[in-house]
Parts: sequence; structure tokens; C-alpha cells
Amino acid sequence: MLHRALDVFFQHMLRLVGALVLVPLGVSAVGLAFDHSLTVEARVWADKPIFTPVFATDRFTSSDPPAEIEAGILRELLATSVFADAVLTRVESGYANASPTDRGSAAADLRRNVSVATEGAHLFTISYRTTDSDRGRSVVNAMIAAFGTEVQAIDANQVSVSQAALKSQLDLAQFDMNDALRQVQTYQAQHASVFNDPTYQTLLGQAQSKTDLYLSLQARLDEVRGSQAAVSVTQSSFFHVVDRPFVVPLTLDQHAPAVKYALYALVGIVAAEALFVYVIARRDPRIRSVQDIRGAAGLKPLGSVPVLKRTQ
Amino acid sequence: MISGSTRLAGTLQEALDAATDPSPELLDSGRRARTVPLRQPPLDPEFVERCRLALARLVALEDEGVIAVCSARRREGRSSVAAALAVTLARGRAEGRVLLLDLDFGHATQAALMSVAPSPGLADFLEGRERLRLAAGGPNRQLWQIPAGIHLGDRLRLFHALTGEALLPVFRQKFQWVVLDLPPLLGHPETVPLVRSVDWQVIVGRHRRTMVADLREVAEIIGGQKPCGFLLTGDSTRIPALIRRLL
Repeated sequence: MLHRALDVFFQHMLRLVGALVLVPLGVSAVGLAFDHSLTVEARVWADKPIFTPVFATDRFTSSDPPAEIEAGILRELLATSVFADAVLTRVESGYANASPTDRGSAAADLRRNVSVATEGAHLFTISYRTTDSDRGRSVVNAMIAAFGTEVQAIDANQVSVSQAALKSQLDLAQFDMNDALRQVQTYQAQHASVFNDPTYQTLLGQAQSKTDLYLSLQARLDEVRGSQAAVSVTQSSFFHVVDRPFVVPLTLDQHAPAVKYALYALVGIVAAEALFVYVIARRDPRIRSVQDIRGAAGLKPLGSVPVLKRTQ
Repeated sequence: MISGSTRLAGTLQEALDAATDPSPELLDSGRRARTVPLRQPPLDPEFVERCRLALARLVALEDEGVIAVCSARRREGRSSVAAALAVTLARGRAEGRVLLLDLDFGHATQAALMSVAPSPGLADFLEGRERLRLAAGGPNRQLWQIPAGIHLGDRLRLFHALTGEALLPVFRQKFQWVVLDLPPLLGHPETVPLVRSVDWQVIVGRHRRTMVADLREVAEIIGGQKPCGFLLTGDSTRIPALIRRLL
């Protein structure tokens, strides 16, 4: 079977290779002719802030380039319906009142046409493919705004949760500290001399350690409050737009319809050609290789002779 | 009483003797069988070389015998292969004579291939109209050919004479190797007994033309009692040699 398939392939090789090249090219040309879409792109600068809020998200401690970190977060956010809703609400006034189906399809369309790519360690681009340049600019602007808000909200939420947790610990530590101090004072009032009393010394030590704990928690809580204020302040230092949304001159990338259709055509033509070779090799009743005859008629193959060229 | 078959064999024996080893009496009397010069068939050297390799695979180290070259249908390269095998045998494997016998009566091509007149030939001789005519050529006149000639009677009788009247042994006596160029087996069942009586059989099939089913039928017809091999002709495959070696 392999010999037959190879014989079929090499017999029609020029046609097969020709189809493999020409069909995707033709499809690509048709795609280009009918494709009126354009790409709106914005470039964003990402950096690690010099002052890092202690209780914010851990992305500032990563060793990855800032552009990779921010682009990664944006891609993850793009997959969420909350972020898509936030973007589309800014772009389309009627989006909030649209049916869930329409909202879903609009969100899917947004995800399909948006691409985020890095250009070096600090720069990343947000691209949106559309047929309307104004809408493209609006979408990219909305994405940038929603991204800033969302990142800030994530950090702020992180800090708030930390603050709440510390506050409850602080309250508990304060209660313990007051209780320990009260015990010390009560013991001192009941005994005339407590200077070398071991029980008194123990109570005093406990009161001291609980006071230390309370004070350390108090210090951390102050730090969290500082971080909360820093979250909004540092936003501009690690994320700002370098190039406002602009229409990119026509380029062919893997998202362009012409390229996509050409790839589909390539895959299709490869499959069709494989099927053609298989069917011919399987169904052609004529002899195509010496090996055919061994299996079919049990004859000993003696070899083959080329097409006869008569000599003079 | 001498039987008819013995008489025909004797006549053939005399004719061959007269053609191949004429006695002074025959030469003086002018009754010598006609021998005409034979030209080498205009075959591509690579074609002949591949036929030589095929022959080596089939007959190995044997140094005499009868080889039948047959095919399922016409235009499959049978006559060219038969001619190339005869040339190969005459050049390298035979010290004695090699006979190429064209038995494709009615569609004979060997005479044209070796530039001799197509008639008179074996059919004319067997039907009693003409003396036996042989053509000889090649190195040391080792390559001999008997053209098919023109048959006026039933072709069945000619094959019956060749097999039933023991003419093949006469050729065996006189020639070290005999190569038979037979008509297509499908449609000519009269050739089957002759094919079964030879020492080796070469079945020829043309690349991308011969039906596998036809070859299967041919293999069933000839029975498989004698060593038999298949040679693919007109091999126009474009599979690169490197891939073929890997396979």
C-alpha cells in the first residue's frame, strides 16, 4: 500500500504541490479583496514601581519582565465576563440593558478580535480588529481604562482584606493585653510586697509580651493603611499609555482573515490530497509496483525495467 | 512406420542442422536452409541491464534451458523483454547458441525489432510451405532468431505441433538457450501447454497499465509448477531512488 501511495503521489506530484500552493494563495487573495477590516492598536508602558505597596498583589515581586506581567493579567481579565462587561459598557450605551445572548455574543466578539502582545521588556500592545476605526479606538480606550480600574480594584481589595484581618487580630490582642494588665494590677493590690514574688513576675512577663504583640499588630495595621493609599498613587508609575489608539497600516498576521482562510484552505487541500492519494492507491486496479504482484498473485518479483527508449 | 510427429521433428532437426552446421554436401547442392544476418535490437542499454538482473534472479547459475516470456495482454513490453533476454544470454551467459523464437503468430514483432524480413518463418515452415529460415547475429553469431512467419491455417495447430509433436526438445538439442516470445495468455489458451513445458516463465506487466486481476488470472493459468517471476515493464515511477532504497 505504501509503494502504491508513493507512486500515486509522485505521479501527480506537480499537480498536488501546485494545488497546495495555488489554492491557499487564491483563497488568501480573495480574502484580502473582501476584507475591509483594520486594526486599532495602543502601546502601553509597563514598569515596576520604585515604591511597592507591601500588601498589594504579588506581581511586583515576580522576575518576569513588567510587560509580560501586565499583558498576562490583561489576557486573564479579558477572559472574564466582568471585565468584558466593563469594557463594553463603556463603549456601548445600550450594552447594560441588552439581552444575555447579545451580551454574550458581544463579549465573544471582543475576545476574538482583541490581541495582546509584548514588544520587549516594558512595552505591550493592545490590538483590536474592526471595520470601524472610531469604534476600534473606543474599545481600546475602554480596555485601557477598565484594565487600570480593575488592577487597582484587585490591589485595593487585597489590601482591604489584609486590613480587616489585621484589625480583628488587633482587637483580640488588645483584649488580651488589657486582661493581662488587669491581672497584674489586681495581684499587686492584694499583696504588700511583690518585688521578688515569682507569680507577680510571671504575670508581669505575660502582660509585657501581650503588649508587644499588640504593638506589632498596630504597626502592621498602620503599614496596611499606608499601602491602601499607595495603591491608587502608584498606579501611574507601573502602567501608562505611550501611544494612544491609532489605526495600524495593513499588515498580514495570523489574525488577518486572509491568512486565516489561507491556513484553512491549506489544511483542507492537504486533507483532500491525502484522501485522493489514498483512494487512488486503494482503488486503482492497475499494477503500480512490483510489490503489488507478490501479494496479489504470489509471483516472484524480478525487478522492473524503465520505459523503453529505442536506440539506433 | 514413422509417426507424423517424429517426421516433423526430424524435418526440423535437419533444417536446423542445415542452417547452423551446413555440411559440404548441402553447401554444394544449394539445399542449405536460408540464414540471414541479424542486427542487434535497438534497445536501451539500461533496459538490457535491468533484464540481465531479472534473468539472474530467475535462473541463477543454470547454464541452459527454455524461458517463456508471456503477458496477460498485448502492448505490455513482452517482445522487448524477450529480445533483451536473448541478447543478454548471448552476450554473457551462453557459450553456445541462443534462439529467440517468435511465437506470437499474427502479431509478430521480433523480425522488425531485429531488422529481418518477417516471412518466411516458423509458421510457413510448420505449414509446409517454405524452408526454415533463421537469422543469426551478435558476437560469434550466437544470437539466432526464427521469425514467426505468416500462418494461413489455424494457429491452434501450430501450438499443437510445438508441444504435442515434441518440437521443443529439438530446439533444446540445437540451442543452449531458447527464449520464447509468446502471445498474450488471456485470449490464447492454446499457448498454456507450451508455457507449462518450459523451464522458466517470465510474466511481464506494464506499470500503471496491466490489471492486477489479469496477472492473478495468468498466475492461476500457468499453475506455478515451474519457476516463475514477474518483471514490471515501462516503470515510470517518479519515487526518488533514495526513498525506494529506504523502502
